Order: sequence, then C-alpha cells, then structure tokens
Amino acid sequence: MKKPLSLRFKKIRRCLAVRSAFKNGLHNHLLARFFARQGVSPKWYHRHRFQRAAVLLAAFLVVLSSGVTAYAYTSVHVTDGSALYPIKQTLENVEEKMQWSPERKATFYLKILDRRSSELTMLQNKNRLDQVDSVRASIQRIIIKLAGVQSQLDGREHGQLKQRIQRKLETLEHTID
Amino acid sequence: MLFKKARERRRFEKFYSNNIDKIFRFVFFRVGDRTKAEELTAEIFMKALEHFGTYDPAKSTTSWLMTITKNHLANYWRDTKPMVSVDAWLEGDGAEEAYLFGAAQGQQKRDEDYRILKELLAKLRDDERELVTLHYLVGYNYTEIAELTGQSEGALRVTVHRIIKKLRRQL
Repeated sequence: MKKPLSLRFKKIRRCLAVRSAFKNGLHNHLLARFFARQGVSPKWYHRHRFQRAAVLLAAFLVVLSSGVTAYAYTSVHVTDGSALYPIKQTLENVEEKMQWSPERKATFYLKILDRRSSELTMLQNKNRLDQVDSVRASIQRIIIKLAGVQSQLDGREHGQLKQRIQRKLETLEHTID
Repeated sequence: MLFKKARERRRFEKFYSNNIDKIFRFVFFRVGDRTKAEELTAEIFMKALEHFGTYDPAKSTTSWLMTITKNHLANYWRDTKPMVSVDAWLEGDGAEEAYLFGAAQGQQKRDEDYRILKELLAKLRDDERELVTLHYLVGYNYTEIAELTGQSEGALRVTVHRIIKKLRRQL
C-alpha cells in the first residue's frame, strides 16, 4: 500500500525540527540582549511576571467569591443542607447585627420573613419535605424576634410599620399551618 | 513604562516561538547544512531583535521576518559561495541527508521517503517547488504564504492542491 504524500512530507518536516538545545540557547541569548537593550534587570521581569500572575489570580478569586456570595445571599434555592447555606446564614447574621434601631430591625426581619416564605414555597413545590421543617422553625424564630421588636415600636410614629408587621404575621400563620 | 517593556518582551517571545522552526527549516533548505543553518538563523533573529522596536505590529510579521531572512541569505551568498543551494540539494549525492538524518541511518523506510520526495520535487517548476516547500516542509500556513507571495489565499490553496494532485499521479 502506498504511503500518503502528506505523511511523507510530515515525516521529513519532523526530521528537520530545530534542536531544542539550540532553540533554548538562542532564546536565552536573545533575551539577554533584549534586557541589555531595554536597560532593565532580568530579575524585574521575573518578579513582574509573578506579580502579574498573582494579581490576576487574586482578581479572579475576588470576582468568583463575590459572585458566589451574591448568589448565596439572594437565591431561594440556597436552603439548609446546601453547601452555600453557611455563607447565607453568616451574611444574614452580620446584617442583623448592623440594624441598630427597632424600626430598622423590624424592616430587616420582614425582609427575611419574605425570603424564608419564598424558600418554603419553593421547597414545598419541589416536594423536599425534609427541609421544610427546618425553614418553618427558622420562620418561627424570626416571628418571635419580630414580636419582640414590635413591642418596642412607638404606636404613633411607626403606625404603618406596625400594621405591616401585623399583616405579615397573619399571612405567615396560614403559611405555617 | 516598565509594563510597556514587559509587554514588548512577551510580544518578542511569542514572535520567536512562532517563527524559529519555520525560519530554521527555510534556511536549511537554502544552505543544506544544519550547523550553518543554525548559525544563520541565530544571526537573523539577532537582526530581528535589533529592529523589533521599530517594527509595526499591525503589519505581517511573516513577510517582515522573511525580508530579513532573504536579505541575510543574500549577504551570506554574496560573501561566501554557498555549499548547497536548493537546486544543489535536489541534485545532490545525499551527503547532507546522511548528516541530517544521522539518527535515522539504517532506517530504509525513511531514506526511501526522502528519496521519493526529492525525486518528485525535482520534477516541479521552481515556483511550484517553492510553494510546496514553504507549506509542507517549512511549515507556513496558507495565510502566511499569501502574505509572502502577495497571492490570494484561495488561489494558493487551489494551486497547491493541483501541485499535490500532480505529485500523487507521479508517485
């Protein structure tokens, strides 16, 4: 059987490869001349190369971690048992600690209750009943906290907020039941 | 400023790694001697480095480097009578092949390949042989050859295809 022409050419070309010792030697020699011409120490380039890689890696990690964190914080799919759930919990705890006044705390708990309700609905829709109980327990804990904050609110100043809390608590009663 | 220099260096390194094999093979097919080809290739890249700062990256690197190579080879031939030219290589007694394929000596199959290709290439016209050598032996792609010859890439593909068909018939 005749050997294809392209294969014959390829074989010859492979035999004509540059010796790696020559290739590397010339590369180093050219670089040395390059450094001399630029008036820069070769050490600087090596350091710069490392620094550049480190900056790129750090930037990549920052983007990746902020993306993951944002997803963990906002997604209703991150629930108890999920790998990202600890991130979500930590962020919520930090956020809770940052609410100084009873009014801001109440607003925060209402937001969290909305989020937990969405998670509960999602879990029920997906029939993941094993996690439903944990979300329900979490809602109850927040309701207790919210009730505590509600009593600290001044009736005249925060009438609207108190009404919102009342409506939310009534809605949640049905949801939890 | 320093970042610009670092960018320049990366550009030169890329340029070097993309072209070293091709230039070496191109020079080898002109001088027919590995040691001489290495020496000339090194000198060509030294020249390229000297003018690298003034070279416009928007233009084709292939034709820029090929111009340097051809000028350098012309100077070399002007100063010293060439030991082996392309034609001499094709008509040669095989002494340089023995040197080149030193590792393959005794391997009849490879010698046979080499002999057949040499015979086939010798039957081609100069321009045809140049195209086949540039593409199949030196390793340039059609875009690069188009830049070197000034022909369109499509036309080159058709021409090379026809030459290869012609060679196959003679095989």
